[in-house]
Amino acid sequence: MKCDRLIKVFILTVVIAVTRLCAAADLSGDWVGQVTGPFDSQYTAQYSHVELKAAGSKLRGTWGTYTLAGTLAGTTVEISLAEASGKPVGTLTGELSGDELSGTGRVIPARRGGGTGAALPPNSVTWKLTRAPKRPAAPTTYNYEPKLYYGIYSAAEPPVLHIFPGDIVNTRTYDSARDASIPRHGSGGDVNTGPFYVEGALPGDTLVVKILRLRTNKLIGRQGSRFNQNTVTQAYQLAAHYDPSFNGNWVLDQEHNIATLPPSPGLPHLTIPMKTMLGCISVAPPGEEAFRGTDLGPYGGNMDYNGNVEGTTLYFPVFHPGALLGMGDVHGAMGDGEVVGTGLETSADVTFSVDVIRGYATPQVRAETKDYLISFGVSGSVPESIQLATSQLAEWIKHDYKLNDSEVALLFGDVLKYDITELVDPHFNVVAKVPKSALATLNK
Amino acid sequence: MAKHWRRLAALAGAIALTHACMAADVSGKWVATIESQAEPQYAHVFLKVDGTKLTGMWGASKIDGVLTGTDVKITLTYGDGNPAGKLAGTVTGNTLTGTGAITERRGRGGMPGGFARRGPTVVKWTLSRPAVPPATPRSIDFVPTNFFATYSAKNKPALTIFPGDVVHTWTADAGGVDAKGVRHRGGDSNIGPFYVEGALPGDTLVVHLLKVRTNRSTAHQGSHFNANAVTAAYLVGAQYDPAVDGEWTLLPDKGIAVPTHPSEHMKNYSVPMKPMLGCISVAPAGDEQFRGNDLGPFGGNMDYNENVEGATLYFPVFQPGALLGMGDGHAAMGDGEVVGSGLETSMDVDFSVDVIPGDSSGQVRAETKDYLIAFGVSGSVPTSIQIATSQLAIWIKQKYKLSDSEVAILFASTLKYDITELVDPRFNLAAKVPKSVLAAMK
Repeated sequence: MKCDRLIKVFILTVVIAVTRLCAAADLSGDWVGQVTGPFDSQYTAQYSHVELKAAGSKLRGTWGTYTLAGTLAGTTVEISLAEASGKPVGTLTGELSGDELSGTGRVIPARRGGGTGAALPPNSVTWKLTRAPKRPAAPTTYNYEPKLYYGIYSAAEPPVLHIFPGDIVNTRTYDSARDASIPRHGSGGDVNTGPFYVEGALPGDTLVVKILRLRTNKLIGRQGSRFNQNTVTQAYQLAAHYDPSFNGNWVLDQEHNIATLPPSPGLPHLTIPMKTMLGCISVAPPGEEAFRGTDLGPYGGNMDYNGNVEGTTLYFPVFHPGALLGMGDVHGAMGDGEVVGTGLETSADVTFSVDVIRGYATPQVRAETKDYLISFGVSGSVPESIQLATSQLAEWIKHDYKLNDSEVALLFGDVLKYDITELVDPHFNVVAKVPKSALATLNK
Repeated sequence: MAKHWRRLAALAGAIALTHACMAADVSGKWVATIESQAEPQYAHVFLKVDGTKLTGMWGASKIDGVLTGTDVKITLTYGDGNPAGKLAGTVTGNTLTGTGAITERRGRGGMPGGFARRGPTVVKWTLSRPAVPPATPRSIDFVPTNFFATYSAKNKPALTIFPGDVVHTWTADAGGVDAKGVRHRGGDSNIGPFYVEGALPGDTLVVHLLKVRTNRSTAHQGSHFNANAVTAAYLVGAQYDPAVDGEWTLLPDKGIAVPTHPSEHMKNYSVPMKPMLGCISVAPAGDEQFRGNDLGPFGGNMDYNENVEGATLYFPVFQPGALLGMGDGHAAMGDGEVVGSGLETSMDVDFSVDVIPGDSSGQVRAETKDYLIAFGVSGSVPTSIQIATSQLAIWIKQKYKLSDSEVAILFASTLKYDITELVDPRFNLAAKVPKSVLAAMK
């Protein structure tokens, strides 16, 4: 009996030891891959979702859009990457250290625009695989009191909070005016709160931002009273006589959700419904690009869309790990085009949550409201913005509803709506949108 | 008895005298035509006679004159006191004709100095009596026989109407096909033109669309994006499916349109109907002529999807009678007409007209249930935005007596834009302000 028991204990010990050994080397699971080329900084390095499946010493899986095959011998890893067609892309070698793999390799850079022709010579790269962060079992609600605001869209802006998809953040924004008591990063106006690092978001993904609550939190909304030169004819601009002391400080009434202009001779009782919107909502722009707070682009920024209100969901292409979400520049209301260069500039309490759509992104920002699917087109000219917005919306609807080019053209011919969003900032913004009621009658 | 005869003689004399006076009574309303080497000019004229003295207004100019028998001499003075011209002529029956010299404003662009250095323009002039409207407005059933595909003052009026008259008529589709399938001239043809009595250049023609309803069960629509609506890359990459034929079945009772031969994905697809007039026009200025699918300050193929039943349009008048036309009905259309067509079909249309004398805007304006609207038609979208915004600002400033700062802040908080037309020879943008805000601000 005793001997028998000893044998059992011995076997158990061996089993545990072997299991330990295997566990230490089991690379299966989700990783974040980083490939840094000879000319890359941390901001231009390429980041990908990597999935490894280990079977004995063999490794299989995916590295971004590439297929992966490799071996693990002791702590030494060898990996080859290939396109879906089987065409080789590169080889990586490295070492396992704790729960991280890193090493060097040679990778053929992708040609921009899907060019064909001779392959480019491979780059010498360094690489790293770190474990993808695990989403906690239950979402967290954060109350984030801003300690700073930033007026420059850039991946170099350090994140103030790490959040997971599903988490809810209660915070607040500053108006576009400067608040000298709070530190500010970057000299640009239209400051953002954040950036928030969204775990699991990598370049090539879509960051989903739901504006759950957006309420003004002060009594004044300041607004300009001169037309911007993009919005009226030169003749109008020359002939206009503006009153330099015109009082554009609207009084905001949160209880009745209205804004009232101080009486002027011609507008003794101008009262408008409030429609509180986020002028700025952004992710960090690609690479090392840095844009001032008033600017806008594929990363969002100062989009000034008067449909970016409570209840709206926004979709951003992700350019950096964590996406680096920011928001600010609240308007109590704003007409189309922001024709005087401002809305009713104020500050607000914001509640938002985030999600990530892995491996799919459109070139520019999209949105969804109660009634519409929306695509933005930001560019240096209004006509180009119209084309970008229409085309991106068409690609989106084709993708989600499996329509062909004729079907989406016919659909847009019937029900497309445009909004002229932003005429006065460094870039123009035009919205193309289709009613969800029409989409609901399509067979997916 | 002798006394009786004397009375009779006195009465006869009085009647004769009255008749003599009536022959030369030029008081009241007239329409002036001034002919020179330039485009003819027209004006609303009002004359008042006091003995031999004539006073009144010739357009915006003041009249001082003398009537001697049938001879008339008139001096015109601009509103600012500067001389506007001298005319001489004679009364013949119910017409005054003559010659004279008009001092023309240097005019265009409001250059300082105000008057041309060049000498006065020698003119021939005529005053004729405006047509007398019927005692009560008429209801006219008009069956169109002429479908014109060129906007031009040369189109002969098909019907003369007065402000207040209601016309019941119909339009063919943009290809010229009517409700019965009969083919007329296409090319975004318009019915009419309707000559509106009392409308002169410088006035505004008001058109009330009382009814715009589809009158057949079919419509056709394109299914290829126009080059202005999508990027070059999209256009090059697009692979269109010939099986998507763009035929629609209209179900006005349900208020929807459905594809007649739907593809798999669109088997249950339907579009809410919103019947609109793609074309509504007055004759363009001077000798200008534009084809049916063009658009401009004269309206034309504006393709605004809010030009529906209940909408009112305001046109600058360029020719006597305005010469109103309409056509190119769409059962529905998305913004920008991105595939080059709406759901093209024929329409039953009821409309009435009105004239606002002596006031007009640079381009067309409109009013719907919810908005005051100004169009901006030009060769580029940015310019169209600027024209639409400026024209709307000028209109609202005038109508509501606002300063430049006030109209700017009003627009900054409430303005909406519609991208109306991206695919025709010119672009059309609509700028609009909600009437709910305008109603509450006074």
